[in-house]
Amino acid sequence: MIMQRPDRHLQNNIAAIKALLPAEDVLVFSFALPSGRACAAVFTDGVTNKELLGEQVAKPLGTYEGEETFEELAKAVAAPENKEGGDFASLAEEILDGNAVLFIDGLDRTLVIGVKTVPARAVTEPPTDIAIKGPRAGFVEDLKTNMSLLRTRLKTPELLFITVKIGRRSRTKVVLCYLKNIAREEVVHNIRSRLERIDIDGVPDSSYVALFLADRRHSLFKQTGTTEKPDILAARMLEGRVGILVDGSPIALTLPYLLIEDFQASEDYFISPFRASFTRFIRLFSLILSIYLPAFYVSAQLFKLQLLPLGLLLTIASSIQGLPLSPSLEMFLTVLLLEVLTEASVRMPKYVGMALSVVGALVLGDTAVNAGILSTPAILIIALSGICLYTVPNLIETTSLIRLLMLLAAGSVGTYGIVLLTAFLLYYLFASESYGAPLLAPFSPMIENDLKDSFLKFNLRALRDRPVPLRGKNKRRFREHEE
Amino acid sequence: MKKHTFYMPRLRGEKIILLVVFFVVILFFSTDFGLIDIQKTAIILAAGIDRTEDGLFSVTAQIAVPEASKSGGAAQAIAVSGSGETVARAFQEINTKTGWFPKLIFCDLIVLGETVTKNNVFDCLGYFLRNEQMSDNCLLAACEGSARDALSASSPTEDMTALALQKILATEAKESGNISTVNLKDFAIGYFSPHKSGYMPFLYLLSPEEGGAKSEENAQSGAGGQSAAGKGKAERGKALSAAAQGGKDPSSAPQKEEKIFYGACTAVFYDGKLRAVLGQEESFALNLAVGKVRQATLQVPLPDGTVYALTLTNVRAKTTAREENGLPRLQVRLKAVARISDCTTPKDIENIAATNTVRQRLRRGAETILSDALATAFETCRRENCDIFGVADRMRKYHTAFYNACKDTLLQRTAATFEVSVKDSH
Amino acid sequence: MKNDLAAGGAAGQPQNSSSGEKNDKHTITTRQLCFMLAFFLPANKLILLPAVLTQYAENDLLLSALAVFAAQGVAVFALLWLMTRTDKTLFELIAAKFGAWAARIFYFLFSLYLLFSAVLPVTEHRLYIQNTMYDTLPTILIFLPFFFFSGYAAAKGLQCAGRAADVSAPLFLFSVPVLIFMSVASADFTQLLPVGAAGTGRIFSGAAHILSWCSDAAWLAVFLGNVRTERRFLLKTGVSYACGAACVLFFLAIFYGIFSAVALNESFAVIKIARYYNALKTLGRIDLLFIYVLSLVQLFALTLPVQLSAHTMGMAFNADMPPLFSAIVNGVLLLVVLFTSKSFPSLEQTINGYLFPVFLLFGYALPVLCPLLAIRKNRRKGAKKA
Repeated sequence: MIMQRPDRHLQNNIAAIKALLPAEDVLVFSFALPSGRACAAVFTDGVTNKELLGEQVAKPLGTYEGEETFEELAKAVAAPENKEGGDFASLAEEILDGNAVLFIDGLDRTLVIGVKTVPARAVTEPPTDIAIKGPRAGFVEDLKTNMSLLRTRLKTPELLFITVKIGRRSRTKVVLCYLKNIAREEVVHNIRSRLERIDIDGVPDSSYVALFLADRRHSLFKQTGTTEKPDILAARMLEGRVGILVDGSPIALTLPYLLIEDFQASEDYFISPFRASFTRFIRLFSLILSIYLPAFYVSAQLFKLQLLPLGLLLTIASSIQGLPLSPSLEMFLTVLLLEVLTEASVRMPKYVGMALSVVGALVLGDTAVNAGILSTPAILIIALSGICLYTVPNLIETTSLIRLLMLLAAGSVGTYGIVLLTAFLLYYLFASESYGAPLLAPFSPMIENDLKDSFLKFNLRALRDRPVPLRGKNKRRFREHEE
Repeated sequence: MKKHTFYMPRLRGEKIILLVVFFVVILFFSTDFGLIDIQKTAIILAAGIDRTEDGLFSVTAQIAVPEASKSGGAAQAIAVSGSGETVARAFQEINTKTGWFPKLIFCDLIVLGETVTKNNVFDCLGYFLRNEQMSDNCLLAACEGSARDALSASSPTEDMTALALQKILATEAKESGNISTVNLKDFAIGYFSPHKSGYMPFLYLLSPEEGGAKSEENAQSGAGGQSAAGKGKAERGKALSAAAQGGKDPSSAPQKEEKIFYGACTAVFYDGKLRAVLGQEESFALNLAVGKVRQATLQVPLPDGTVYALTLTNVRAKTTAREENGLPRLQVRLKAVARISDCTTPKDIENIAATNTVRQRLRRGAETILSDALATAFETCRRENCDIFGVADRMRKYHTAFYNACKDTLLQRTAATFEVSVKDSH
Repeated sequence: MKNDLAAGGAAGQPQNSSSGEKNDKHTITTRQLCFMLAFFLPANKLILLPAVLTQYAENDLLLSALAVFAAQGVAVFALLWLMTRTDKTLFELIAAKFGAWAARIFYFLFSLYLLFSAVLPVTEHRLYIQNTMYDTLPTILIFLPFFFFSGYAAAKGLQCAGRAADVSAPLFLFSVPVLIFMSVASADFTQLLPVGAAGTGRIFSGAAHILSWCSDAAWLAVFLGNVRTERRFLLKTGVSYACGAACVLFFLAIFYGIFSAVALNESFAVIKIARYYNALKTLGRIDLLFIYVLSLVQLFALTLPVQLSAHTMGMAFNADMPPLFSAIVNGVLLLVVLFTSKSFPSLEQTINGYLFPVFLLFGYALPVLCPLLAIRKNRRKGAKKA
């Protein structure tokens, strides 16, 4: 018969827990009280801090001479994070989580001792969301650290965490964090219920959770916001968004997601609003350029020469003389080549990546032109498009795909294809919402209040109200006081 | 209201995207869209039109030919001719000869040869007006002799003749008052208006040595203008026309001779036919009166033999037409500010420094030259029924009843006054 | 901004109507309606309308257009006024007055009319893109992807049309003023003189021939009960309509000022007016970029009647299947476009020359009569109270 709950026999209990956790890294640390009563701490090797276990559990209990009731023994344990254990299933979960479970012979109650230790990396500046001015700390893989990073920025009782365990096998902790009254209750409720409904083997990264939280399963556009920095998460939560931290992932998710948020860098809030507005327009312009430039180049050559001034047309015409490929296939090939190079350079080790850049940029590009396979303008256009793409790094996945679609549309239908695909994508966005917030807000639907922090960035004092699609009951960021 | 619900597979955005992508990919890789790409296209920069002795249209297209180059930018132009009963047929012949599909989207100049301007030029210009792809912003010019020679000549100023001609006829030239620049649209508006009149620059093709002499000749011809194109130049015109009858393909094109274009004269048209060519001074005065001239230079000879060059700025022209004592009256008021820019007699330094002081004698001289030139231009045009000052147009707009009563004889009955006022900048 | 999300955007906001039809998917804000009137209304009147109008009214084209806009203004005002008086849809008003079946029959006819009203603009659009976006005449296949877009858009709720209007505002304001700036210097407005020279007959003939382009009140009727009215609703929407009409009139003035005697020949007005701008000689046709931006607005405006036709057809059959009705409507349109691909002049002549009474009926007479549905109802209510 399988035991559900611990009984008074220590050996039975240990046997039961080992039956549940037969892995070799689940260890049993046996010791005895001065009275001779046997105790055993079951823990996972590598995740539990053995030194702490010895210092805070074995050492005080080894010298304990009081009454040997569960309550008194629990008091004797010097660890700050203790709780009474439940059935074997929950005990097994605690053990796998890094805590130690103390069994005492003659007692059918167990003590879960928080002596977890995770080999965590230090809080460093993340590779994305880099800011020249402003905080540099980034999230790490450890959930507790991430929660503490957030708590240090929002020291308010309104900051609430809801923990949900996801993953039948990974049992990953996912923490939903939000500011009460500032976030919309229905959004919190909706996210929580969706999280609780997730039934999956394991959650290696927050992006798995993001897929389950998406309103549209096969959306062309992102459905959740992401950030690696606690200051950005705190700022977004202050706007009314809900944050989702996933144990083991340094990337926090934010919901609801608005497309505009990927144009808003954290630094924009630390510099002059004029400069911030200018850089946001630069980002928009670059994004438009990166998507449309290759497409218009192809369309101009194939369907509408008038798009080019005569001088430029003659330059292009003389460069493409004798090329074996049609303009559309030439550009398609160049885009594919760029995508391959990008993919390879990301995956390669750094020192190989350098060599790859040289091979890609110099050897391939130059040789292709000299061999008469590609033309100089095509490579220039793609290089420009590639650089522009990286001005909005969070949208790269989407924009590079759209660029390819635009190219296909331009090469087959011409400029009309570009216009039509743009209209289609816009309509697609009109119909897209993220937890009730329109993806294109504050442009469509137009929200005057929120336009102040869109491509135009107003002075902070003008941003008195929180964004309309995100905010809950508490609508204002601050109140003006007469000086 | 209760809703019926039927089973209907949801056509989600993603599925539609997939459908569209599938459709587009098929088109993309089929590479058969009925299109003509850049390498199969003849980029026509200018078109010259003549009539052959058989009455056919002979179209000479100056085509930009890009040369293969990794750095790009290299291009030369060749002139290719084709002929047919219509301009469209002539272009088709060019296509047949070269294999390039002629595209007129960059055609910014149409040169009409002497043989074309003798008849209604809209016999051939209609083709360009009908062509939706071509901009009716292209410049128009009539030329002495054949348009083929004009476009086949090589210019010392530009590698491509078309570009050299476009420079001469550019809007900037119009703003200096030297050229009566006009585009197809404006010329067509004149033709299709009740007065059926219009004008365009008249080009002479000269060897570099002839250039200076021509300028002098026209400057002196002044009054009277020249009626009918080519008068006095007939011999040279004939010679050039004869040359133009030669081969119609690039290989048999005549040896390129370096020529300069002289376009200070103006051809005036009535009912689509060339009626007269105004000399340089009349053209200049006309441009001041009807164009938007920013800065112009006028030579004023004084009785003592000294010739001054005056720079005219702030040129303001006001043309009005009204009924006066039962007669139409045209009044052109021209005001300008002058300063001295040159003089044939050397002066001392104080005199040179005082460029803003233009003596009254000099101003009166300038006023006389301009008003005489305007009067001559008007008379020449009236003789040929060309209403280039827009009397009929103005009367129709502002004095409709009067216009309707006497529109057939309006121009002949018009009394014209030209008031020119030149001031110094003090 | 009180109601951006409730009407323009977020789902899940309850509405105060008991009607099943009136949900967020079909609700737009006052601002969105204003943008439709100001930007959708002129967008597709800048292509063939100027040349067609010139053909009949010559230099008095402004008078013809003014007459049509004034008449249409009355119809528009009647519907706008009705929007302030009732939150019921036209369907509900008819159903309350004449019964559900009458409402369904009317909506079916109305959906056919909306489909019919889309025929000329769509075929016109096909010619327009052939001339704007291609150097050589492309195959008709090139135009077919339009129906993918139109099919997708028509399957979406009216809320999406409202959002499209929001986006159209910056697109329109980015493109049209630039095109006007580039062209206004080339225009000679005295060409519009003498006023009235064409004669009353020609002016009214011109007006009759553009009715198919100027029957916007009809689509406004579908939005009845689906607009969240706010303070000064009539003023805001009225000014928006006036702005849209003024934009068309100003464009017509520029058009005739530039082309005067040859205006008749200038079929695709909007792509031609800016090309005389001097800077284009060196920069190339940058005006085309603005025209392409404008064509996005034109696409949105073009799909609106198609969308409304699918919507009203759905209402007529009392079935919530937007993709099905979108497919039907777009399929019919596709067939029409295919069959008329080589005979646009006859199609234009038939619709504008002979079938204009249809537009008079649905675009003018019916909207003007709509307030009667509400007035009579109020009287009855008053009688009951008494």
